[in-house]
Amino acid sequence: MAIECLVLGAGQEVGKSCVIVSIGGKRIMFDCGMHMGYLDHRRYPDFSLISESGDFDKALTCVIITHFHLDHVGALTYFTEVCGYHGPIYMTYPTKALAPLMLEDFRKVMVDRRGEEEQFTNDQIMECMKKVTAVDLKQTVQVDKDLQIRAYYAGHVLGAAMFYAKVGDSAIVYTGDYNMTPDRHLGAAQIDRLQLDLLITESTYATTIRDSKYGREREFLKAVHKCVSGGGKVLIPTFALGRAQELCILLDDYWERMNLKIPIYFSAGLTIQANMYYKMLIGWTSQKVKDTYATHNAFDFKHVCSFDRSFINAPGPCVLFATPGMISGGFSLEVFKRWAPSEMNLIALPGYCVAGTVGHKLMSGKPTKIDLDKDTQIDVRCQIHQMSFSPHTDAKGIMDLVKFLSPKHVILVHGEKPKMATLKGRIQTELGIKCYDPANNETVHIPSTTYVKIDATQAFIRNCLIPNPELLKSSLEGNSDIGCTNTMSLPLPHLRDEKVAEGILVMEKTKKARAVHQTELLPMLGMVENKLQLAYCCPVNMSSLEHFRSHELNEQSSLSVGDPSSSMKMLLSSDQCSWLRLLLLKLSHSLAEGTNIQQFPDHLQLESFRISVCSNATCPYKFKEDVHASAALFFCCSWLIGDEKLAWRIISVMKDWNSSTAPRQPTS
Amino acid sequence: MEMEGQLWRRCEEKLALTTVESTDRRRIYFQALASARALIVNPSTSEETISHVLETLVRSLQVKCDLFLVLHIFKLLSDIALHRQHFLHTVTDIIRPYTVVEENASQLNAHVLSMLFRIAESDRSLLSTTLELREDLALSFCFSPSVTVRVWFLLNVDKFHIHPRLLVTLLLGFMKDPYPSVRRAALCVLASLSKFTDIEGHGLIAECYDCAVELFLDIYEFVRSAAVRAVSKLGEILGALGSEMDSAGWFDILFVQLCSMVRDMSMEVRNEAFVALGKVRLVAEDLLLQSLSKKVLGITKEKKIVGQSSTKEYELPVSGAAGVFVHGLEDEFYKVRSSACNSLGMLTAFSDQFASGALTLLMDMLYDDSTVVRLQTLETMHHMAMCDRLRVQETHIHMFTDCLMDTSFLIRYQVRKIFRLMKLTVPEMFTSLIRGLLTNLETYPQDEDDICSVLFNTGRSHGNFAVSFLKEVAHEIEPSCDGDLKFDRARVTALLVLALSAPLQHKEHFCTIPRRIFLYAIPLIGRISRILGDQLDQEALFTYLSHCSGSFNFAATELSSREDKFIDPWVKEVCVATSFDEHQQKLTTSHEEETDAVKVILKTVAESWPLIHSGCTGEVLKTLRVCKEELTTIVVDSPESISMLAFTSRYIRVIQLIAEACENFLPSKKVRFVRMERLNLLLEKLEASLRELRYRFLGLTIKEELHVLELMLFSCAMRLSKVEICCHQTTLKRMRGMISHVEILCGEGSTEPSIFVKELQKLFSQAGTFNDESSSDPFLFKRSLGFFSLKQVEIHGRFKHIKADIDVPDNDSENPLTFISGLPVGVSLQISLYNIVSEDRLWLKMAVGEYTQYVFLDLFLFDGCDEVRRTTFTVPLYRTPKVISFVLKACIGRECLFDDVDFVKGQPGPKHELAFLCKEKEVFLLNGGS
Repeated sequence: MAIECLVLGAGQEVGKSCVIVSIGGKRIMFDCGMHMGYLDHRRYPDFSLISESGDFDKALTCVIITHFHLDHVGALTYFTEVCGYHGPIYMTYPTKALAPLMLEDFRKVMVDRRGEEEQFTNDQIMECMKKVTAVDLKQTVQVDKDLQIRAYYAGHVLGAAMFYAKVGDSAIVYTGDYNMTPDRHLGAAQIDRLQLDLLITESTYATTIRDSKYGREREFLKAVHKCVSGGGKVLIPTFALGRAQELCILLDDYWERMNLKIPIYFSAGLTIQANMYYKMLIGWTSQKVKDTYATHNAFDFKHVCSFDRSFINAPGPCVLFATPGMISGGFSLEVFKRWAPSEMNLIALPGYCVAGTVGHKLMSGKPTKIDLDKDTQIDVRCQIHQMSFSPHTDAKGIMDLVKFLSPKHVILVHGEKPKMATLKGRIQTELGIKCYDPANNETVHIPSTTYVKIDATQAFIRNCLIPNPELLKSSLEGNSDIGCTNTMSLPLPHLRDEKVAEGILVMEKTKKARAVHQTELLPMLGMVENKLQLAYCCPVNMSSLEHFRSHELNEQSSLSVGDPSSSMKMLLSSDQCSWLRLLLLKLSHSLAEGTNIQQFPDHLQLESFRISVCSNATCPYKFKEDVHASAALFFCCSWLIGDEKLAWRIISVMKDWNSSTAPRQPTS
Repeated sequence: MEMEGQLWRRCEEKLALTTVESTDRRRIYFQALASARALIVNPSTSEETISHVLETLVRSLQVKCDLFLVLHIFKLLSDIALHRQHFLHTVTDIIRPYTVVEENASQLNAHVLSMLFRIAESDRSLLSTTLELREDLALSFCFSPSVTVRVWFLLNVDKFHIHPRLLVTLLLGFMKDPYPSVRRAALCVLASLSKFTDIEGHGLIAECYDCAVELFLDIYEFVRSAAVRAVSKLGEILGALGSEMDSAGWFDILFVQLCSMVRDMSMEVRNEAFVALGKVRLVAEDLLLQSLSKKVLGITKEKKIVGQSSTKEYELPVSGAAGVFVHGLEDEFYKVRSSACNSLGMLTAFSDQFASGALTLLMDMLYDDSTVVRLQTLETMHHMAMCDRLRVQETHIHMFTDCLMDTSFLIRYQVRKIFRLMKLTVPEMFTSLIRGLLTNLETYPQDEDDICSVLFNTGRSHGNFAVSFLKEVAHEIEPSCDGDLKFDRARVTALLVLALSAPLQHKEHFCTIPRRIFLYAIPLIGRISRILGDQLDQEALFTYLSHCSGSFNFAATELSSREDKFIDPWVKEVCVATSFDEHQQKLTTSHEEETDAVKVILKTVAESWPLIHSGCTGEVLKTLRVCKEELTTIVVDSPESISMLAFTSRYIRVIQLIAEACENFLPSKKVRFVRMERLNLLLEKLEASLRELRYRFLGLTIKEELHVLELMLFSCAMRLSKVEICCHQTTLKRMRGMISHVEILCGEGSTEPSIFVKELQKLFSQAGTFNDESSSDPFLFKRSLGFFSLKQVEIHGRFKHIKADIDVPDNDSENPLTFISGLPVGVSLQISLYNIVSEDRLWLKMAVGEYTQYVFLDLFLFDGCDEVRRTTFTVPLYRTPKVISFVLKACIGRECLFDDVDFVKGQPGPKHELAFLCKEKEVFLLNGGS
């Protein structure tokens, strides 16, 4: 099974995020955004690539929206109401609450101000939102029988989430936009360590590494304080949601600390409503806000007053938050026109500005004059302060996340091409993870994990779950008695890499494969256990046994295989026992200490190795050359294959007695 | 006894039941076991019953029943052993066979063993004699298929006698356990091991270390955090084992590996990682510098740390440490930020360059939202200053002085502590530091002592700067044109302290500071010497001041500016001879003067007794009123004198009340109709006032205390001599307590009790115990009243007045708090406590109409010392009435621990009566729900 990832938007660019992921027959659309830079067909993702016929309900299992920014949700209404998708849509609660505000605001700007053709109506927005299923953080949603999704906190903006999706054994995470460092009002992204095949991550700041946020805050506050203490006015153009609240918390705190009495204004519009949402959705904010809201809601700004248009020309210092963020029009442009010509004033630009907007012009080198249109030109004498209060994570944050999740593959989206290439290189070399940066409308195929499902017996599972006692025991047993007396000589048992689940995989006809424990195998197959036994009839010089004297006798022996019990009943003499005892004495003398040979009436036994006197002259385990030897007593030895080493050690000892006393060497 | 027997019989019957359905039987069994347990834990159960219980339990153990019940039976057996010492060995013998592990150790074995461990806590010898906790037993627990048993084994591993090497081997195996809880337990045991210092074990520990590092990647966060702790610990051991050269490299490896965990998604893990980073005992400078910057530094690019342990070769990039502290200080959770701060400070010892970089980061933390983090930051900086690593720059000073405005006393105190150690390089730094301190003084006058002490220190160590600063502010000290000497202002005192500190270290400054400044300081000598406390005693200070001010014709050469010379006897003699002598004496004796004045008043008070006795209550009250007015005319400045006046005025109040009450007991000339309620009320008031006298002043002498006790006894006797007033029992009990206390005091101080007290003692010894209400004879008490006579209280005057202030900021009848009736409402109170010692039990009483709620005030919540403690906290009022608005009366009371009379039983609240330490504070609340 492979995962197929079709990038419809935000491939090697920022804007209209839209990724279709197919896993195990399921197709999920992550985000459905629009591009703010285009007005033609390029504004929306090319939905025709999903389904030629246009039957999206069949082609897609579900749509998941990560957060309410227009480049992530902007095309949703179009897709559901115009293109006719009726399947399930998932987003978090705050996103569901705030997305319609954003869409409606956008629609108004498009239709009312720019006079464009209406793409969708307000009713359609509402209709679209009705299809949305809201999810909570870390809530596992079973979309259908096979597909599970789960949201994780992403920081970035209120309600932003990363989504985990799992079909069968394949799992992916789509991050959307996220922030790895907390800011004044939102926490840092938070996700569990998951087993992932694929991570699709944003890469807006693929090469930037930001240093401490405190430094940035300090500079911003210093600039603002300097301006207002000089009697100037500060304009901070922001979007209504997100940066405005963060900067406002920052300023409010600072005002409190420095005991400043200068008013901070919020231009009306979205912002008041947005603040209300922030107050309600405390659970989605940072730990600090959550901790303190019982006594003081961080969004109850003490020093903030609402703004009246007449204040624009009022004398005296003030700070004003105005929308839209890039001074592309609206109220912030209006205020900009009035305030820009005075040296005393300050324009503080908190974030990214799209090319073509006034904000972008101000950021790229300090202009003295700005042409608004053919007729109006503005003298810009005021100070400009740029800040990088970005809600996106920086390159280190991306690397940290990738490292933490350690997925098998990474796909980069939502970034600029050259920077993405650099990051891709870093991920591949530093972390050794395969990485892709597809362009729009490209498809990436990656292999996914497939597990073969097998059954397992209870005994097998039990065996897996306990620490492997056999291994531990066998390594300890040999020396457990030594262990108590002389611990320093305890050899170090190495069990590190040996500890694996042991079992036997059995494939029954027409049935699933299953793992069984060793002990279960035979009864299951209905077989009797056959043991392989080896035997050898070893000649020992009698005299060497009797007196421990050397006699010249040496015979060559050989190995044979067969039933060892055949020679057992043949009792040669009454002193068979004494022969054995002698042998035992001698063996225990020669073998290392600690080997415990057991004596039975007719044989000696050590582990599975047993020795008995052989009286059968034609014992099949004798070598022909040995048969003729006189004065040699034959001992029949038999052992199981597991004790082969031990057996040969004993036999070689027994043979040694012959050879050490014999000048004659073996002939073969 | 009968109860006991009955209970046990019923219990026994139930336990013997076998015929009932199995599910039912279990329930009945449980009931029986529960009542058996009640018998066991009840200390009055007879031995006989207990042995019956024991027998029956043992019998039911032999009958095979389900495991669940068996566990309960064992629990009861251990209860018997724990509650009845002499059954201990019997029980141990009974349950010991169950520790024998057959094939695999079961939950039962573990359960029985842990019971034995518990029993063994009371008898140490038990474990060694009766149990052989040998390795084979340990192993059978190790290999138990039950996860619970394995975890249990790991938690109790120290009880088994396992050779350390075998233990480490086992732990190594456990770290691979499929269950995360077992892995964590193994890591915890590993982290708590500290005895592996033998070189031979090196390989094994290194192996454990590697294994723990592998668990950094565990799915479960609690395993990861345990792994971090274990790695930190093992790393330390391994570092200590290696040679000098090795260990430096080894610590670098450890540092980088720990750094890899600071970006974990779990707060616990991050916190552990930062705590561990602070414990690394040696780190290379380039690594440290890299940890301050998220960008990979030029010097560390491509650089790798190569090292070798006995099992593995390491090659880690230095860039792994990039910006760890930046991340740590930015963390969302204050716990992590605080740990990061602490570790940062610990590591500054290794590099000066790192210390200055760290300081830059730490400066931002002074503005953190969390007080914990701010405090930790300051503590870290203090630590750096102690290690001589604190290089404060000019730009930093204002951040420190901003912290002096903090509402928390601890933070301000900590900042000043750093100031004492701070080296100031330029005069601007000095100026802004001093100005910061002066602003601090104006905002928080209660910090005066500490501030002046810091000023004195700083002035001494930076004499030059002090002199030039004083020139700037000299005009503030000078009397203004209208002749108003603002010496009583704290700011001027502070400046004077600074002025006289400068020449101490550098005598050349004598001439540069105008002499009259020293003259100005002389009248404040008491205050200044109190502030400087241990650094300069009053006499030396005076000598020094007189010398500096040039009032005497000392030869400058004969006077060294070193402190110890000031107490030179010769100098002292000269001093005494001076004209300032009187002045100084006056200063020191001012308290005695005040005491004298008070004594005169008290004499007047005592003299009024015959008048009271003769029934001229009107005149007496007039006299007492005058006495009270006279008290207000005494001018005082020391806290002791203020306390003394407070005591005296309360005392006069008591006498007033006594006078009014006595009127009712005199053989009256006229027939009086007194309503009993009025007398009752009067006596209650009197008792409350006496309680205040007794419980609101620290440092009463024996004589003073005896006097107060006698007055209290008198008021009790008055109460008892009226038949109509109830609560005899309580009053009697209280009197008995007081009399025995009087006896103790008399024994200590060898003072004779007064006739009145003796009479009461006699009365009590004769009447036995007054157990019966009827046995107390009001006439006897009435007779004893006749023996009382008021003597003048011999006042000593060194009191400490215990008091409290409550304030509710921004609340009055115009600005009420809002509440919703039926729901609790939080009331935020600012509380200051004076002269409270830590043993005191304080309660906040909140009364709304009839309903009263008590809240215990934990002194841990307060900042400050015994003299002054302050805090602001929010108290919930649980029962809000169904009205539109109401007034809540809050008051703080000190529990009268001497009174062994129970106040209220069975209710949450104080166990003794309260002496109230402040006036009732009214809090206005308005229903917000309507």
